[in-house]
Amino acid sequence: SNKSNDDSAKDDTKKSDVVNENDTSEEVTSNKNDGDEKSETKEPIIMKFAHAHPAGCPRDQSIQYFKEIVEEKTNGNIIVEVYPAGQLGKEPELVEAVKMGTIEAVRAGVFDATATELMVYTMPFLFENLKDFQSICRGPIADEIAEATKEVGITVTATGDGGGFRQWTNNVRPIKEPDDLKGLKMRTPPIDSIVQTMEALGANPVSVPYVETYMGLKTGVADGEENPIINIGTMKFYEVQKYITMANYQVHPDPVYVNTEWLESLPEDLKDIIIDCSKEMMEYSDSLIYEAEEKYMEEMKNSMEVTILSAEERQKFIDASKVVWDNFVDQGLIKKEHLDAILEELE
Amino acid sequence: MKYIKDMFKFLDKFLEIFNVSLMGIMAVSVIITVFMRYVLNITFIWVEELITFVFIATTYFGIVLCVKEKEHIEIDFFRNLVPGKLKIITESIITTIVVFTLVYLAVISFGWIDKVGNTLSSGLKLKYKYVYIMMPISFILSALYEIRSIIQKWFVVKVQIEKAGGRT
Amino acid sequence: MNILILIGFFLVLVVLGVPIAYSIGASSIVYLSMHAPQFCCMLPQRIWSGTNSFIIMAMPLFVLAGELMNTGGITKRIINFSMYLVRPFKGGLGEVNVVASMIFGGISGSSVADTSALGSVLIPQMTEKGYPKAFSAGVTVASSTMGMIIPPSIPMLMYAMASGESVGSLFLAGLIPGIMIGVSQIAIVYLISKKNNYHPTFEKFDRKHFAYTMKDGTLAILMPIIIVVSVSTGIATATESAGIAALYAIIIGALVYKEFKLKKLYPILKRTFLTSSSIMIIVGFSMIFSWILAVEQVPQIVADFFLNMNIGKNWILLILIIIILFIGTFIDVAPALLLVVPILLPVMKGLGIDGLQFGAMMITGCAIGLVTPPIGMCLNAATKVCKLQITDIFKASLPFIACNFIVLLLVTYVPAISLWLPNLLLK
Ligand code: NA
Ligand code: NA
Repeated sequence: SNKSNDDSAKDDTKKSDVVNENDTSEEVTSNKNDGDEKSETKEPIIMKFAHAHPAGCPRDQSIQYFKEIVEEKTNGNIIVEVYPAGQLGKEPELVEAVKMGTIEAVRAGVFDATATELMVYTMPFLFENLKDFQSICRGPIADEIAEATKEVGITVTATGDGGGFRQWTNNVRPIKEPDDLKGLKMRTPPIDSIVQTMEALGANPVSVPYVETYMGLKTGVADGEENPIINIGTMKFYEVQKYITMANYQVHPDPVYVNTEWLESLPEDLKDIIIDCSKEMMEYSDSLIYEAEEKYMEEMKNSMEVTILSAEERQKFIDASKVVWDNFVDQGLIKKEHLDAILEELE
Repeated sequence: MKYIKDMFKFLDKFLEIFNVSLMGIMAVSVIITVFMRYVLNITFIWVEELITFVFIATTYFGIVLCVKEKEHIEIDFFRNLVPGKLKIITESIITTIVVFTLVYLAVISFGWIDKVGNTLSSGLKLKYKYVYIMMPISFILSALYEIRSIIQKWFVVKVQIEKAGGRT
Repeated sequence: MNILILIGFFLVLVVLGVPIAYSIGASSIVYLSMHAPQFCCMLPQRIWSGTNSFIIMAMPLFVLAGELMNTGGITKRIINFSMYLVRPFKGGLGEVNVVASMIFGGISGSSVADTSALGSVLIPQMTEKGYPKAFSAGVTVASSTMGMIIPPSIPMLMYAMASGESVGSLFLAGLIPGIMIGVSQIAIVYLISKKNNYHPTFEKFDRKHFAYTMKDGTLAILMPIIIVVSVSTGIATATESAGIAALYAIIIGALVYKEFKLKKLYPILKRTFLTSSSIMIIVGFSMIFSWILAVEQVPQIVADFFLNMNIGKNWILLILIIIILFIGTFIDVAPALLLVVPILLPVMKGLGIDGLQFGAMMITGCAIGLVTPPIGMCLNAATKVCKLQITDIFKASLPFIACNFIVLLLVTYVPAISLWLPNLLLK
């Protein structure tokens, strides 16, 4: 139930062939950002912003964009230093570092270390499409859900899409109803909500490291896998898979975690800029993801048979995987009221 | 004095058996997970986490015995060039540096654990502080072992000097 | 450059003889207290992070598998098997030493283990058959460098950890360079032995002995194949494949060779955890350094520095090779990889070098460091066995190390040597 939203992000590092060209190493020494610093002081405030995805990927690009707009809007009073590709640690460690205040912000798909309530977004088939998801994660319910992270000293300044809806691919048959998944060996990352969904639908989850998955699919260690379109594209899984079902079965949120103490120590105007720019960053990030998704879909629709679920077909999956929602609520990981609020809002 | 010696003797044996068992458990559980996955088609997320924790335990409790068994990786090339009497002084300096490092790290570990230790692990749903605590414990035990080892070396030197003194 | 003070202090401590892990710890504590005290609280987390790696868990299991194979009588069977392999071209124990290292390299992921296991048997045997002792030790250490290049390889796990590359592909990337080193070393041994008349006369061919030696040898060679195939096809993780290897070692040691006894298990497990934790603590502490370097943005600075040099890719690569060799000479393999890879990887990416190829370069380069004085772990292991000075062993190993060096150049300038096999099988 933790790890990054699109598989182990560290594994993704290899896909980066972009050297960080944005020269963040300006003539600024990393000095302590005490709360008493005011926006008019000469010494700029440093905001260390880390993430574990490769340099140059949508997440990195949008954080670079955030850097640009923050530095512009604050007239250089806040300098954002971006640390991509897990340079400063794996995702759970980066979250720890934000809690301790050694770095100021991180974007990571880990929820155990912040608030399990955020996993409500990952419930299978909760959102039918992008519009639904965005209306929730950019709306007031999102703030309510994110309230829980305050307890560990973290503020979520915005929530976006962690990488697009997750879909199923496989080599055996087109998946149109839950029975089609029965007995399929599906490669799954060690994320609870995914494993439980696969089990609820009758598939056999097989755990293969992300970077070995291509070969695992090719050799039949797994019949299929589940991932967002971008991952299926960058890892070239479509080369070794025959069928894809556009199930939109799960989506992972991409919260912007900021150290609360640091954020509150900022003068009101700077704090507002950080929050506004976070929202802007996530909108930009989402648009980058959808752009990339479209590009990859174009590339792979000829090499796989695409199945699109009708409303009735989708309903069968929803019914079959409801048990996952109940499990998460029963275990106290997510709140029933949040689920209800989302469903009501989407009505 | 005898009391301390007995304590170390007990610790030596205990840590050795403990680590040997952990290593064995780790190897066996890895083999079992492969079997479960491919023969029985079962995967447990928490098993992977458990094995990782066992491995981490062998590391932290293992380094304590590395002091006694002189297994720590170090460059003794230059150290061996130091002539006789200076040697014990060099050794003492090294031990001081090591003990300082270990104690310092153990102390700040508590701050770290205090701050972030309440997070539940994703598989076993175990509070991380119960796992993290291995590290400061290991560092403190290692420091004790380092101190024991340098005292033993001093003792040898003392005996040598006494012997030499006896002869003249 | 504050960072140079950090590195300088670290080197002083290492030279003084402070264990490598604690040299990193002490120098970082001093550095952070002086320049960025607010980051001191990160130290425990960084150490923990290094020791908390699922990939690297394969290491103790490979060590265990190697120990089990040793105790199970595998070493002497590999040597016997190798004698038949060099027989067709009338080679002697010198060639056997190299061939056995290639096979043993496919079992142990470590070169040092290779030196001690084969050296303790072969150096005395070779000396008895009239080979000069220094020559025997030189061949032994030089050939044992293949232990970490031919898969499986513990240093490859560390490279995978530092770079995010796939372990399976890395294993395949090391196979051809490893074999090239082996084959060229055999040629050199052959030429030197022939010139100096080291080659002994052959014993009579015994068909029965031949038959069971072949069977034993095949069982031994099967193990690296199991490991490489299972990892690179995604059937098992590196960790699991090492577990399977340990199981395999127990089974053939107990049931086929019948040399493995249960009471040997305790000392084996003891040696395993001691080796493992002495390596793991370095892995843990190395994370402190790479974190400090990252916070200080050293990788970007280094990348910018190299990429802005107007001297062309080939010259930059040559400089990088020299840096790798230099670092490998003075630091042990594990810290060298964990410290250098995060710094140089951005340069390589900038030059358009594949991460797998860089892995093969790093591994081949660091392997040379194992036999170069003053600090070479294989030299140390060999002196323990044969009681010669490390400089004498090093001199004798030079002609063979030349092979390693040439292969390093080839790996650097001919991408296909490391990339052809992984691309062929995995793409
Ligand atoms: Na090897
Ligand atoms: Na060697």
